[in-house]
Amino acid sequence: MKFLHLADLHLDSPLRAQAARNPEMGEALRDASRRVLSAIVERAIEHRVDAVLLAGDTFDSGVADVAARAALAAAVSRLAGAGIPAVLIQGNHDAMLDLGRFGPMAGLTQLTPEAPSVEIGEAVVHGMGFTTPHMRESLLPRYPAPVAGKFNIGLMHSSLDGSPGHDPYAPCALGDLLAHGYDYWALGHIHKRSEHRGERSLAVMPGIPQGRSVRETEGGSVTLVELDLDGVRATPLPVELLRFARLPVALDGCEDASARLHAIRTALGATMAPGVLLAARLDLVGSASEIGDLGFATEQARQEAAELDGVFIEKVRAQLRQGAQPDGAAGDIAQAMRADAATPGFRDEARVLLADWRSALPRDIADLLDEDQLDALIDEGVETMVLRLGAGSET
Amino acid sequence: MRLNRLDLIRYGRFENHTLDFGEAADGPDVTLVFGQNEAGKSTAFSAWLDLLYGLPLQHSYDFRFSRSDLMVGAVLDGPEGPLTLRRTGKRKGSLTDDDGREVDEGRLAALLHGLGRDAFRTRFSLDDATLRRGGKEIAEAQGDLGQLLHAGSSGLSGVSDILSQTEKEIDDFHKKGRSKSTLALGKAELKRIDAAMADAQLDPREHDRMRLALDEAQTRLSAATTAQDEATRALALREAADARRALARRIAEIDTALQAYADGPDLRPDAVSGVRVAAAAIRSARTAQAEATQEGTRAAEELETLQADPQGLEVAALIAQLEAAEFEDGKPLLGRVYGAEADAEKLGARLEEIRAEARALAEQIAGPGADPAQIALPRATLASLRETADAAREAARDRDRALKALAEAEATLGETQEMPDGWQQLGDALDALAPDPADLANSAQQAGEAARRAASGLPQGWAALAQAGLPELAELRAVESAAQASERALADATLRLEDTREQLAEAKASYDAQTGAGAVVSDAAIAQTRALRDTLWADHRAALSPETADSFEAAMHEDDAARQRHGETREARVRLEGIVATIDRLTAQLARREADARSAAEAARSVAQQADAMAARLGLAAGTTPGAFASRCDAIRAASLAALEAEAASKAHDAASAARAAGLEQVTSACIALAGQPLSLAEAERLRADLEARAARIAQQEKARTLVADQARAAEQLQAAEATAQGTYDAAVAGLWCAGLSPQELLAQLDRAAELRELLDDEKDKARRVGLMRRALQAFEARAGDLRALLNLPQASPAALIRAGIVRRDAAEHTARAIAAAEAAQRTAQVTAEKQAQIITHSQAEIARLLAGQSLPEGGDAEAQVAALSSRDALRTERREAANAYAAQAAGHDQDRLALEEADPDPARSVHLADALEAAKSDRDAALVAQTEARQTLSDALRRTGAAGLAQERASLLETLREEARHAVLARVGLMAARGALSRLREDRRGPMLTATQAAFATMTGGDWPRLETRPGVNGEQLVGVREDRKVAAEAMSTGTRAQLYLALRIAGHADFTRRFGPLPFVTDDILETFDDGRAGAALELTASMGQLGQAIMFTHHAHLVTLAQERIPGLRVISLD
Repeated sequence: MKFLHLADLHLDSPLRAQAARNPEMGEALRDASRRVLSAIVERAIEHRVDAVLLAGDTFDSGVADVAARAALAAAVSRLAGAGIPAVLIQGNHDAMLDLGRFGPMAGLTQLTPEAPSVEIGEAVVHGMGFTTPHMRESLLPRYPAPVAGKFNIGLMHSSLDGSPGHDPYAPCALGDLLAHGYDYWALGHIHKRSEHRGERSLAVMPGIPQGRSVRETEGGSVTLVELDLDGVRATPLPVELLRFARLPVALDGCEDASARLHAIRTALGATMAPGVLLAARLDLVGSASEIGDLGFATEQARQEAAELDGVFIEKVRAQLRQGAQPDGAAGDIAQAMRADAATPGFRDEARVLLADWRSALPRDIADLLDEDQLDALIDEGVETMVLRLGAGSET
Repeated sequence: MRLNRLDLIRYGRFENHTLDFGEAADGPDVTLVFGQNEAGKSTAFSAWLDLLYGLPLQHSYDFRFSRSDLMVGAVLDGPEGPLTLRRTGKRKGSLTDDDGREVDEGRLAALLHGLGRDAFRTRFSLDDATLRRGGKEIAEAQGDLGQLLHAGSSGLSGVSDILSQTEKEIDDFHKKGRSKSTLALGKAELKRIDAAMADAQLDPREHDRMRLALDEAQTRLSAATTAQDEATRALALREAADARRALARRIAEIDTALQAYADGPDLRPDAVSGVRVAAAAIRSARTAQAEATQEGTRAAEELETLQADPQGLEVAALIAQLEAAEFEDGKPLLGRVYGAEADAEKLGARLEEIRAEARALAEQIAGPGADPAQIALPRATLASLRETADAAREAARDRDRALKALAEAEATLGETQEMPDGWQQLGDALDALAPDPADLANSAQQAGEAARRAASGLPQGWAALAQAGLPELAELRAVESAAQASERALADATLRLEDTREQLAEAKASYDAQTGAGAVVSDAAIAQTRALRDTLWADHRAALSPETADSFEAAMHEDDAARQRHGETREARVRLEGIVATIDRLTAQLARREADARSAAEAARSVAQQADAMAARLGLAAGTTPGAFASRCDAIRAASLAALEAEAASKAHDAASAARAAGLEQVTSACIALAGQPLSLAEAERLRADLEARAARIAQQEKARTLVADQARAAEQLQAAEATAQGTYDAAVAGLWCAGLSPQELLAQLDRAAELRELLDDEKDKARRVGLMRRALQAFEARAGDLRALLNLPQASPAALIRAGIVRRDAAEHTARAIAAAEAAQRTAQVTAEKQAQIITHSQAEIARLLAGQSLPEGGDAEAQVAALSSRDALRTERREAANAYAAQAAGHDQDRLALEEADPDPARSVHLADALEAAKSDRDAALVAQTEARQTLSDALRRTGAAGLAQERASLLETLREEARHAVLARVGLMAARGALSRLREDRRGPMLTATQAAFATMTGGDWPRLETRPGVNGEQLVGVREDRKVAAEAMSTGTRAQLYLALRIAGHADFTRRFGPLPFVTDDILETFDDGRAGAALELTASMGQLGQAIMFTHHAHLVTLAQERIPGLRVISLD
């Protein structure tokens, strides 16, 4: 039997990408999550799967508007037309969504604590979604026992043992999960793809099908699950429209602009994939003279990206290479700047500056200047100015 | 550090060129390098930098030697004595000593006090362009002392440009009060997007309204469709009745017309066409009969003029025999004969020439008297000989090369080394060693503090609120928006109600004012006075008493007065009527607005209850304004996150501590096993590095031995292969004329042997072709005797004989064909005439058959008669069809209603029914449009992207603002630090540097500017010069003076650096060319003073400066590049 497993679609959640402001890219990325959903339906039909499994956070919020629901309804309808049922649980983001608000969707089964299992051919799919956005306890004890003589699949939205950058939701020990007796665990919640194999069971976190910012670089696929007498196998199928990537660009020995451009081009070329747009954050690593003026380097990178089909530069950051600051006659002004920035007076002045600017920024991005960012901003601000003054070349 | 010698080994146009700066001597250490333009001054300076810092990947001096072949050398004098170095273009290990051993770059870095390439170039070199830029910098910095001291000591310029540009960039992004800043514009754009999103989202309730509207539209469409169907049926009935009346009239008309035609059955279907065909056939046959008779006569006349040629036909037979005759090779004989007489002679002569050439070539290969047939070998044999000779020669070469490489490799092998047991365990233990958990402890503590800070402003039980689920931002916005809207609606309703009340009160007051004074007499009032007057008149007529007379009189006067006032107050009466109407309107409006105000108050209470419920979810008191919800929600969410992070950080620290302890134990065990005692971590790392280096050397040695063994095996195989190839060659030449020749000698003769083979093959081919031609001529004459006799041409060439025979044959055959054609024409004409007579008889019989049974007069025109009968039959057919149509019109209709309609011929009724149908259709169309619109509205709403597109726009804008804000804040922090640093520099260096700069400036200007002072400026102290007791701001000095001030600052900076770190060579490139001799001399003296501190090297192409320098600088060393 074959299943297509996905999670964390976050339908209609926007991409946090400057790339979308580029007219050409913006058009290509319009309704990105809906296009990805359409691609997922095509994969399901192409691979003739027995069912599509949605492991939570299909929507981005509990009050999704009718248009977003209609997009899911259209996808489920296409699947039903091809004889493929869909099975869904709710995650923390869409826990409060009343999915039946506009009547039942033909071909879609929602698993709940009251109705936790559905039989599909030789398989039984078990699952239960979130009923409140914050589920602090494990749901595993409430999952039914495996049905003998059937393939048993568990559908669960959980942060497992915990993951950096993800809140603990319905936490569950991986070992307990793999020992529950199911053949396959179709998980959701963590946006980075991972596989966990037990003695007779496989648990897969499929990752987010479409990353939404440069902080989400390790999803981009759904998982094709094959269950037969040889066991269970999982294969990622790429569906993303746009890949976010953080590319370190080593500028060792790049003495001029053309050498730097070559290094940038090489880094971008190695990351491009046919048919997938690329939004890249470049981390230029080198000495001050190798990095040069960051504004100029940024413009160089943007022009290079414009020459490549479907590539956009989100951000360019500079980072002095480790060991590029020997002792001795280090740049006077750089030394003086670092010494000044370490004084309490400077920190107090910077703290006031941050508070002032924080109140001026839109609320959605004010966290950028939270007080706990003070040290990092001072360090990076000084280094950026060192680079800009060219004083860094003295170090 | 000092540069003693610079070797341009392979660099630019130089090869093995040396610039010898000698040893440092007493007195100023100054060298002047003189050379014309393009002599190589820039090349030498570039080579100096490349020696110190390596060759760039893209190189501009690789035009003579490629980059990989470039090499620079130098002898440097440092604290540890002379150091000889070489620099090449290799990516690794490019710095070596003069024996090619790699030198650690750290040695150079130490000599350069950590200065990078750019820093060294800017601090320790100076050219004219830099001098001018420096002067400009002084102007742009507005004399700022900190910036000038920095420029003087670092050699960098453009700091003021950068700082002001940075300031501008920050202000462009955000500055208080600036409405066009990027941030202000971005926030305005966000506001627009938020408003648009609120409009674009499809609320479920709106969806329900659209659904209901669609259902109602569908109901109306259904009713309209029913009405239209009924109107359609009524009109169809009426149209059927109309059609039946018209059909009945047409049937009567046909019956009348048929009486004029002949009786008889309906014509057969083919009768009309049959009669016409037969009549046409009779006319055509008669014409053809006449033409055949005429053709018979013409053919007889032609036969009498023609004469046959029997002998010409015999010639034709002989020509045919010769054309059919074949030569011995199966080809036509005549083809071989044509031209053979001349070609046979030419080809015979060429054959003899070829035979002579072959004999000469054979003697060149094998000596005088050699037989070509024996020397010329078959082609396959020649190819085989060439292949075996080639193989033998190549095998010998391969064997020689392999033996040489083996001998070289064996010479490079050294002795064998071994590794101690268990050495790898140390590396594994060190690799597995977890990092020091001290950082994680700090992180855990910081996370705990952050969590407490985050929760500090929250009420007790905030965690439970988070656990129960916080509302989404959209919900908060919806409540806030609803609260604001309900407050606005209630305020508006109250305002409108009060407004109406005030207007009503004003209207009533106006009414009272108009009526209270009795100024206005109404129609009712005068009717009342008139009625009283009439009553009292009646009483008076009955009584005729004085009392009744008085009463009547008084009533009459009152009535008259009232009527007079009524006439006078007409306009006031109209106004009063308007006021009454206004009062009525406002009274009704007041009732409506009171109801509106009650509804608005109820709605506001409902929204307030929702807001209170939301406030409870956020731990806020009832009545809290919804505007505070979002920040509370954010605070709870942040506190929740901070608590989780603190817990995770604590766990991470515990785990890291345990892992670190276990790792250290394993490292200690490994050290004891290897060194016999526990070691510190640093010692363990060094031990591992040593062991790994030894392992690498052993691996390299093993690899080399394996390679040598492989080479030895290969050499043996190649020796065996060479012996085999030589044996094969010897066998191939055995018994041939070339036996005994070496492979090289044979290869030298093989081309001539191949040429001889070609000649012999050509000779054979030409001999065969001459024989063929001669035999063909003999065969022709044996067959052509009869033809020569018949044509009487005994001496004609074969070609002429054949041409004459063909002419005679063609004439005889043409005449025979003409006689046969005339005889055939005569016979054909006779047959045709007889056949046409038969056609006429048959056609007449056919016409009679087709018109049988019709009452027609004899002898008439058959085609006209059948046309009339055809018209008759058409009328009969039309009548039958009309009768059928009459019956068909009744189908599907109520027969009684149809009869009634048929009996009513009124044309207005049909029009009326058509109008009714159009109206019904119009109604249905309108209902259909309404239903389509309702469906489309719902469909559009479901299909539209909702707010997804706007949300995307918003997210992208925020991401851009986030990145730009980050950039601007970093720039602002950096700017603060830069300004602080310049202030520090000013404080740190101002004393000695200012003094040194003043001394240099005074010297260079010949005492014109004896002093430099400072005064307060915009961002700190500002530098001013003093000339003739007058203070002049630095930026106000002339361009030339500013350049001199910059040079003075650089000289002071050089002295400062040398004092703090030690000397480095300082290089100037033609910096004095714009100075007059006086100032140039002063500058040279300053250079001499720099030479007292360290090495100074001056490049120039001005000969007079060489002389001037020799005068001013004692012990000056001069190197010529020309």
